[in-house]
Amino acid sequence: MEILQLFSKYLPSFLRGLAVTLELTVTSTVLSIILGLLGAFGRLSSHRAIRALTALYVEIVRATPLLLQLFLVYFSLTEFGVVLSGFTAATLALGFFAGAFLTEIFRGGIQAVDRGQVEAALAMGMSEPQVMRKIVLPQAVRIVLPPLANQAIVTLKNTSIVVTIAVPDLMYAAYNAASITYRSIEFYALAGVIYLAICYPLSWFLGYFEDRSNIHRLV
Amino acid sequence: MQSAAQIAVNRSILRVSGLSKWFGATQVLRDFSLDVAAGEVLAIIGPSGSGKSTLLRCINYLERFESGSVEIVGERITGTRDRESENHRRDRQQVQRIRTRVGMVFQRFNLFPHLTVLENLTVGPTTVHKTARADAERHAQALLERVGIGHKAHQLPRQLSGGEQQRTAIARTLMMKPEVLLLDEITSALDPELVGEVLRVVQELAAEGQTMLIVTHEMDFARDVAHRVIMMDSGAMIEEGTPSLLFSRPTSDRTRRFLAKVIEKHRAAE
Repeated sequence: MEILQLFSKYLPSFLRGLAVTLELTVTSTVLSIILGLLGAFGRLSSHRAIRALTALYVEIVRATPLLLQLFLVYFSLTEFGVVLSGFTAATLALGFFAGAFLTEIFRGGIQAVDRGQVEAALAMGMSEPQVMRKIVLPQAVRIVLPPLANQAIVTLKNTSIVVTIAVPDLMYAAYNAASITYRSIEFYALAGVIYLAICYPLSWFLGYFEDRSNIHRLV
Repeated sequence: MQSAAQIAVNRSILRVSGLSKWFGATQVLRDFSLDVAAGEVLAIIGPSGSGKSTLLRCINYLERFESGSVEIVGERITGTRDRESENHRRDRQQVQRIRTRVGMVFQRFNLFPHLTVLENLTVGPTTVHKTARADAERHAQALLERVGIGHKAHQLPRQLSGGEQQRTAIARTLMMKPEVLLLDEITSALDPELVGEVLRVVQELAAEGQTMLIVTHEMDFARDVAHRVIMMDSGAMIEEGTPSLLFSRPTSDRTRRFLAKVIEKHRAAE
């Protein structure tokens, strides 16, 4: 029963860590949605240079490790005089990382809307932004919601890499407790259960709405 | 419906001059010219791939074209080979202006599946003309009654039959009070028993003097509703004339062969 005493001793730091994990998930997911939208419009732009630039962003981010990107933002930018807090650096790295995947997801959602509808709307005299707002996006939202939620779950789990730059998240709390007490199995298992307890309901929820979105119920 | 003699003295509302269009290396419209008078109902027939639909799509600039010009409702657009030209960009507002005054109905209806039937009708005027929602809804309901689906206003498109969907699409286009209506094979995607209800709506529009260009494979319908029929093949006009003349005594061999084939297919279907 000694382990229960240890758990209760470290519970406050786990809870603080969990709060940081969730905060980081929210900030980087918000950033990734903004970048994903900009990226998707960039990929679909009629200007070749913008298309090329967004394609480059997507390819570079997808083809390099997230950890490397985080170190680049946190450590390497300091050489240019940009000193970021661990939290800010992590938000940027995680946001840019997920933003690249969301760019492709959003682009797919926009392109999945039947071209005939776009033509019908244009033929009524709507401008392209009006067609986007009234016809395409409302339908694209339904299409991208499941993969978007999936990406948010991935981001939540990815936040654990901030342990490497000493941001006190949930993973850090587990690492810290395990190092001090030498009870690594118990503390990492505890952290795992907490991650699972958050992510599993989310993905269950997602599966439920995947059915619904097929029949145009959602949103 | 106005008589042919009346139509002849009406002002021209559409003039296509020397229009050429390529899809890659294939020329789909060859130096095409056409005049349409206000109030005229023009049927366009011809084999698939002859450029009929492309012609309609050039008229409201859903397709760009390389040379020639389209003058419609007092606006003039000239073709260009330069895809990214400044000219092209400057024309955007003009194209929108034209499209608000020229309606189009498509083969595959192209209704907006996330909107109700009523909203499909109101979204155009409330977005483009900033019409008040209540006014647009009143107008929409009246149009839906007119095409016989007033009771379906609050359903979603997928809950409607094909014929009802196409009637919705026609009503949606009429919301914009188009001066010219382009109908692109609007019965081709319908089950045979649903064709009649859609054609009746078009017949009523013709009777009210609506200017229309109708691409169709329904020869009986073209004969009934059109003032003039043109036969197209390989991107060019082969023959034109009044329906009675063109259908009973076609002058060109190609028209004769085409009509014979259509009649044969029609018989086989029955």
